[in-house]
Amino acid sequence: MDLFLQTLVSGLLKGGLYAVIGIGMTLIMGVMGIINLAHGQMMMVSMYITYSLFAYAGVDPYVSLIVSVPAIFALGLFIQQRLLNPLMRADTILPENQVLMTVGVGMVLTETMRFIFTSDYKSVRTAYSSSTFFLGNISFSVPLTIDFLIAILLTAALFMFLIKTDLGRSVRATAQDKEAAVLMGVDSERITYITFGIGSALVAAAGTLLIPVFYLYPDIGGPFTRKAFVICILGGLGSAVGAIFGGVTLGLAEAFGATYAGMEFEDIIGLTIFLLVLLFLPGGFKRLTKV
Amino acid sequence: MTTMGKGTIAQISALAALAVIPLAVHNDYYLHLMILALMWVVIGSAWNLLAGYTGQVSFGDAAFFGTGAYTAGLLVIHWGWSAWWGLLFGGIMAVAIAFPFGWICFRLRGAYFALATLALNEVLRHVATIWESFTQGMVGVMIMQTYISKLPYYYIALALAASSIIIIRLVLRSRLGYYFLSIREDQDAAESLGVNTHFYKMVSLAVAAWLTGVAGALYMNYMGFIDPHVVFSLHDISIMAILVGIVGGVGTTYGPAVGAFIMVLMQEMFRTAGFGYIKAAAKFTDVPFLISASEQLTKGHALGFGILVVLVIRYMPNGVVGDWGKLMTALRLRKAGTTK
Amino acid sequence: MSFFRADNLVKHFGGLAAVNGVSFEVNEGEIFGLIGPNGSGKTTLFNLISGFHKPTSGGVYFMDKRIDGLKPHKINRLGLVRTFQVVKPLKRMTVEDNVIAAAFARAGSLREARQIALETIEFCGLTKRKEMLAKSLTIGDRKRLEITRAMATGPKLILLDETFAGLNPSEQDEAIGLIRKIKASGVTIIIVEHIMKVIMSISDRVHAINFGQTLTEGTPSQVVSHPGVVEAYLGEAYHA
Repeated sequence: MDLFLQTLVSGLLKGGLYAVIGIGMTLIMGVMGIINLAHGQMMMVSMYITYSLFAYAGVDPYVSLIVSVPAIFALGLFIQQRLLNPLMRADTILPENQVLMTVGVGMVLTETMRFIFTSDYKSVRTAYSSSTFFLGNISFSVPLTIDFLIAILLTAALFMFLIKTDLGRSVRATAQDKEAAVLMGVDSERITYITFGIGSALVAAAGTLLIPVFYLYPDIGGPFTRKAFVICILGGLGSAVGAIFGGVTLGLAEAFGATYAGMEFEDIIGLTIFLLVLLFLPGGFKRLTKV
Repeated sequence: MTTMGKGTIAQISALAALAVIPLAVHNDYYLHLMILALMWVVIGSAWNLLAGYTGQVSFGDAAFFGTGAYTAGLLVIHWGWSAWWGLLFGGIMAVAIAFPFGWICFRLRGAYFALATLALNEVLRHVATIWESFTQGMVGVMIMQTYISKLPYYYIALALAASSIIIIRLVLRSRLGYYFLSIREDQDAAESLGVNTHFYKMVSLAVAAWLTGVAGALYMNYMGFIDPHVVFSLHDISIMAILVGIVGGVGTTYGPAVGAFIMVLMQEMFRTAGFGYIKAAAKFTDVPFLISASEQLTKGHALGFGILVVLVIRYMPNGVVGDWGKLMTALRLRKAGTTK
Repeated sequence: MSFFRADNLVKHFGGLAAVNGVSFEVNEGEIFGLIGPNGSGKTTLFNLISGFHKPTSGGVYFMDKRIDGLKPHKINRLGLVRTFQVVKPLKRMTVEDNVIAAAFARAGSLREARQIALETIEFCGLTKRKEMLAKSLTIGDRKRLEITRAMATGPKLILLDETFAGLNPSEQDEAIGLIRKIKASGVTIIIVEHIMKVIMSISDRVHAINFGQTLTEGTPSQVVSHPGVVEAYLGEAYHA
C-alpha cells in the first residue's frame, strides 16, 4: 500500500510539471493550428541557460527563471515570425511543411547546444536537490514539491489571464474558432505571436524547474516533445484544462509503469497511450470539460 | 501525363551512365556514396508515392526500413538463411506491419496521421531495443557480408532504384495513379466519384512500405551491421526520407532521385568538411582559419544539416524539380517571369 | 420496381430535427426538383439521400436496393452520383485528368478512361478547357467540371446540389441547357435548389419542404401556387 501511495505521489508531482509543458503546446496547437515538434527542444535550451547561470555565476535555478523565461519567449517569437509565418503563405503540395520546419528547428537547437556544451551529461545539484520530507511513510522530493507548487501558481496565473483579461479571452476565442474570432474583431496575428510566446515561456519555466532533478544532455528535447504531445492529445487540443488532466495522467501512468513494469517501459507507455488516444478519443478529455 | 521522346532519351542515358560508372571509377569511397544515394532513391520514391502522390505524409518511414533490415539480419541469426532472402521477406514484413497500422490510422487526417507514423517509428525502435531475446537489442545484428567488392551491391542498388522509378511511372499512368491523386486533392470528392479511398490508401501504403523494406534489407546485406538506433532512426532515416522528397520535389517522378543524390552529397560534405578539401586547402595555403573552420564543420555537421533542413523548407519547399523555374531565375539562367 | 424512394426520413442533430419525416418517389427519366428556403433542411435531406449522413430513422432505396448507410463510393458504383454545392475540383490536375479519374469508375484501362472522359467533356462543353488546371477555372466552369466528372462515372441518377448558386443569368441558361441534355441522354436527375425560376423551368415534378417537413408535391405550376409555398418564399418568388 505504501508503495502504491509513493508511486501515486511521484506521479502526481511529475504530472504537475508535465501539465505546464503540455499547456504551452496545446495552446499553440489550438490557436495556431501549428504542431510544434521543437517544443521539448526549447525546454532543453532553457535548461542549458539555467545550467550555465548556475555553473558559471552560481545563480539558483529558481532565480534564473527571470532570465530563461524571457529568453525563450523571445526565441519563440523569432521562430514564429521568421520561420513559421512565411510558410503559411507559401503554396506547396504539402501542408505538413510547417511541422517539418519545427523538426528542423528542433534539430538546430539540439545540435547547437551539443556544439557548445558537448553531449556530456550535465547536472545542477543545489543544496536541496536531494532533500526530501516525509508525510507518514511517504517521501516527497523537495525540489519536485516546490516545482509542483510553482506549477500550480503558473497555471493559476495563466487561467486568470485567460479568463479575466481581454487578451486572454481573445486567445481562448481564437483557439476555439479562429474565423469567428477574427470576425469579432480579434487581431489574430497578434494573438498568434502572443500565444507562441506564452507557450514557449511556459515550457521554459518547466525546464528551469526540472533541472535540479534531471540530467541534462542535448538529446533530452525529443522525449519531452513526445510527452507534450501525448498530453495534448489526451487533453484535447487547445484545452488548457485538458492539458492538466493529460499531464497528471501521463505522470501517473509513467510512475506506475516504472514501478510495476520496469524502467524501460516508461517511453513505450507514453507512446502507446498516444496511439490509443489518437485513435479512440480524438477529442481527448476536452469532451468532458469546457475551457 | 508525361511526354515521350526527349524525356526518354535523357532517362536511358542517365541509366546507362549510372551503369557504367563503377567500371570507370574504382574508388571505393565514391562507390559507397553512390550506393547510399541509390538506396535513398528507393526510399525517397516510396515516401513520395505515399506523401507526394497520395497526400498521406509519413514521418516514420524508418519503421519500414528497420523492419526490412531486421528481417534480413534475423533470418541469418535465427534460421541460418542467407540475408539476401531479406530482399524478398523484408518487403513482405514491412507490408505486414503497414497493413494493420494503415487500417487503424488512416482515419486520421493530415498532421495527425503524420504523428501516428512517428509513433509507429518510435514504438518499433523501442521494441527492437527491448526485445533482446529476438532482436539482440542494443547489441545489434552483425552478419558476414557476401561480397568483398562493392560492385555487386552497386548493381543491385541500381536495379532497385531503377525498378522503383519504373514502378512509380507505371502506377501514375494507371487507375491507381489517378485515384491516388484524387485522394490527395480531395478525399470527399474522390469518394463520391466511386473511389474506395480507404482501400487505395492502403495500396499506396503497401507499395511504399514494401519498397522501403526492401531498401532496408539491402542495407543489412551491404553494411553487415545494424542496431535499433541506426535503422529505426527518426532523424537519419525518416526525416532524411522526407528531405530527399522535398529537396528533390514532392509529387514529381524524378524529384526523389535528384533529392537522393543531393542529400547524400550534402550530408557527406558536412561530415567530411567539404570532402577534406577545405583541410587540404588549409594545408596548401597555410591559412589557420581554414583548418579550424574544417574542424568546426566536422564537429558541427549535424548542426549544418539541421540548418539545411530549415533553409530548404523555408525557401525551396517545392524542391529542385518543383521549383526549377524559380531556381533558374534566381541563378540568372532564365529571365524572371517566364514559365516552362 | 421503384426507381428511387425516400421513405419517412428523419435526421436529428442533437435535439434538433433537421429532417422530420420526408418521403418521396422519383421516376426513372424525370427531373425531380427539391425546393425549400434556406434552413428548410433540404441540404441535410440531400446528404441523407447521397450517403453522406446516416438517417436517424427511415430509409433510402435506389432501384429497390437500400442505400442509406452505405459508403459514398459504393453508392456511386450502384449508379448514383452527387455533385457538391461547394464545388470540389481536383485542383492540381487538369480538367481532362479530373474527368479521367472519374471515368475509371467504369473503365478498365487508361485508354478507355481517356476516351470516356473526352466524350463526356465534349458532351458537357468543356473541350476548350480540357488542358487547363482545375484551379484556374472560373466558378461557372468549375461547376461544369463538377457535373462533367459526375457524368463520367456513368450514373443512372445524378444528384445536383445547388448548382445554380453564384452563376450569372447567361451561365444559368447554359446550365439549364446542359441539364436538359443530360435528361435527354437517359439519366434521371434530382436537383436541389432554392432559386425558384430555375427549378420551375426544368423540373417535371417538384417537392417542396420547410422546417424539415413536406409542404407539398406536384407539377411546378401546382407547387408554385400552393399557399404554403408562396408564404415560405414571400419576397423570393420568381427572384433569380
